[in-house]
Amino acid sequence: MADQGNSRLQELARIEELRKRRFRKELIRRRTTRLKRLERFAEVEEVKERYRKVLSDNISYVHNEYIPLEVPDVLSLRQNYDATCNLLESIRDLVLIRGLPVFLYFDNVKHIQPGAALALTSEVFRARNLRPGRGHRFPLTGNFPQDERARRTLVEMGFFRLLHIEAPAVDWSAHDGETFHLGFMTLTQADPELIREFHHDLLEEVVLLEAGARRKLQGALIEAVSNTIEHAYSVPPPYAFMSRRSWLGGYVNPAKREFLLMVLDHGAGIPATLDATLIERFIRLSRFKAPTPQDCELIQYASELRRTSTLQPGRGKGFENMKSFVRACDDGELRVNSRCGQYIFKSDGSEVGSELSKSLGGTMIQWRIRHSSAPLKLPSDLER
Amino acid sequence: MVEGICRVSVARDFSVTPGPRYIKQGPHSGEKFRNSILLKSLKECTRLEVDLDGTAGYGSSFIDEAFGGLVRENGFNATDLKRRLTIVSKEDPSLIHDVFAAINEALPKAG
Repeated sequence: MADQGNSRLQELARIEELRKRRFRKELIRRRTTRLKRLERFAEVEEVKERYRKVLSDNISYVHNEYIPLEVPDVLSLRQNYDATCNLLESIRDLVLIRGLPVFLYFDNVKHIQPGAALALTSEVFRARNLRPGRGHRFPLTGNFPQDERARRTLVEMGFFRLLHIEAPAVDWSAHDGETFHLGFMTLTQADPELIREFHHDLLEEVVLLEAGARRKLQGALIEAVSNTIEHAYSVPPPYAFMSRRSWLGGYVNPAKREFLLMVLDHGAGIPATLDATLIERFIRLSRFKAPTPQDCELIQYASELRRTSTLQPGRGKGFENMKSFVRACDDGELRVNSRCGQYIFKSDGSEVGSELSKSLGGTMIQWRIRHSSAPLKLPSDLER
Repeated sequence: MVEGICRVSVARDFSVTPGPRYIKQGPHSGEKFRNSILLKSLKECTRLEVDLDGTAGYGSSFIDEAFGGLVRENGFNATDLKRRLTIVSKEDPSLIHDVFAAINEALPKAG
């Protein structure tokens, strides 16, 4: 056991060394390019010579070596936010910035929360599409989870289907029969037919929705996806991105009469895309606690834009529709994570904003509704 | 222009699944509905009745772009437009309010 631990440490030390070499190589490439541009050719050779001394042998080895990343045992944005975000950040850093291939170890994974799974799927999707692998290898790959339940959850969520990976065999007879996941979907257009298809069949069975509420649900999802397309990528995010792309996911729990819908994007985040003049106006009105507003305050502010009649087209209305569902149901929650801010709106009308230590690398809207009594009916806009 | 009422149904004449705000955002958008159905009908008839029933549901942007866009983009006078338009929505009467709110709140494009 100790030997295994030591060899693992040695492996990690070796990989760290390879990463450093790769970084140095990139640094030298940039320096030589700059020197060439300045026509200082003599110095180019000098820099290259210095580089050769630092990197001894077999540099090409770096290109074919997979960097191992261990997926945390609890992959969750609720119970294990920091570790989950660390993993996502490492993938972005290694694959998108450094161009290194990564191998994800799912060995210890025991629990997978839908939101975290959607975030991971989208990261893998982006990495595999934006960084084509060298020599018939993918820039990001991994093994299957050992835990049967975790494996089944990933298959059910459509993790492998979306990534065009052959799914592992799973034992469906052991399914708990409680939570059924809606297969992940990725869109570059707010296609109303696809969105309807996504939620229609399962949700109808689970939560009794009055006809008007069903139509509002469709409208709210179209708003969420089209807002992603229109606003999320209007400010370039820090990492390479697939423009206009959003991801949908969710689950239904017939026993509890509950569903969760999620919309995710890899944009710069709601706080970054808000109109600066509107923020300044709110600062002047002392709506924020500090002179520089926190991300969670800006998310809350964005969710109120419609109510405050600022009338910036397309902003806040989708949130307002989602909130009306949350207010009308027995128990519900609207949770928005964007940059480092988290904003939660609950059925009793309470709002909680908090700053998290890490950024999710985009915006995730999670919308949970539980309603077991009479068919869910929304008050009309006129009654609000 | 024909004296009388033209009748348009979103579900029958456009789509049962109305989409986002702009054409670039996806199919069956409010912008497309405005350009292909509303503008044409308003040119042909003095009065227009728009039936919003029978669809899977509307995003608020669709309504805003389709009806508010007539003032913003096509230079219609809000008062005149409200006089010429009749909105039918038995399934969700609040949509009638949304349509007229979109027209009232729309500001004509400068220049």
